[in-house]
Amino acid sequence: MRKGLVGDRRAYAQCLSLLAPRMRAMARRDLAFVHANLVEDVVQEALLSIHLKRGSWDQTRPLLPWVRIIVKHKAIDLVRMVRSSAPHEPIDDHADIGAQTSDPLAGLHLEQALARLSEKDAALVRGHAVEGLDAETLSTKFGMAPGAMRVALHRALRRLADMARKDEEWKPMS
Amino acid sequence: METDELIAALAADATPAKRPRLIARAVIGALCTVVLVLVLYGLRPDLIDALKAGPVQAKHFFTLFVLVGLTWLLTRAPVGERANMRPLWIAGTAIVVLWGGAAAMGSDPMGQTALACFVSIPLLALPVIGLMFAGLRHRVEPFAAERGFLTGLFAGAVSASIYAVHCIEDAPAFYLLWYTAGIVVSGAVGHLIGKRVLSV
Repeated sequence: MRKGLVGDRRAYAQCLSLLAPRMRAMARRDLAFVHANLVEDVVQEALLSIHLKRGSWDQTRPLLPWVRIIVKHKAIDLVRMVRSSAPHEPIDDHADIGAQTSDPLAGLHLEQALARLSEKDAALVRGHAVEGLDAETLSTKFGMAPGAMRVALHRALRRLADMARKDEEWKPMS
Repeated sequence: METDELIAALAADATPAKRPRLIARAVIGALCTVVLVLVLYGLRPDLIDALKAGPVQAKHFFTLFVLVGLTWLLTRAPVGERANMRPLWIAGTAIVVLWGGAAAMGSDPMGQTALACFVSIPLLALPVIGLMFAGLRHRVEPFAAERGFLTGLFAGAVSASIYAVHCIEDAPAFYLLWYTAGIVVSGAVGHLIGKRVLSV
């Protein structure tokens, strides 16, 4: 630091990079766990302050206590700033936080989604998924070969899934 | 920005370090005040004779005592710690008690120039305040308002000590009240400036 003050830039940079990890440790100790994300900000603010006010460091005294004071008060300032910019929010105003995320009206959507399929596909899916008929009954009911029926059912389900996914994207964030 | 980049940027900054130089600034500010008093106000006409009288000496001793006390308070506080404000409260109480005593003994608190005195002392303190704060900005000052208050009081005391050679009021009740009030106003100005200008 002393060399840095008389203009030795390399010594100054070396001094700052030696200080940085120590300052990080100081900042971590000063900040409560909830503010741990501010550690790097505190270090950078303090480095800036050290740089701007390096002329006021009394060279007859050790450097670290001086740095310690800067880090400590920068930590206090930043926490104060964060607190005042993010005031306390009463949880009662956000009753939806932690509420059930699955939509209780999802059953309604099923019929709406089915209505978008072609009539035959819809009947197929309804027979398979809603009424729970087995493959043989289905194939006789629709007059299809079991293989063709399986392919048709598969495609209908795929289309249904595609449409549901598209709907999901459209749904505004609640 | 990454911290390493910041360090590289800071090391590349070629502007020389700013030094507070508080003593030099205070002396220059005081000289400005001296010049202002000589040019705008002038010495009291009977200064030489007056200085031989006890009450006049007491007035100058009072302002100088306040000045020395505040200088001691300002220089004694180590960086990063609160200054010891107790002497200030003790001195304030002593001044109030002395003023009460002086007023009770028939000393005239209003004089002829009370308003001029009360306004002049903070105004004449401005050069010292300006220069001192310009220096203090380069220091690490965690307790900005407190330091600003002490600096303002100091500047007020400088100003009062110099203004005393112009002022023709020698009644203790007068200068204990109005000089102190002027110094306190100057301290309040310092408090406000300190809160805005000084930081870690």
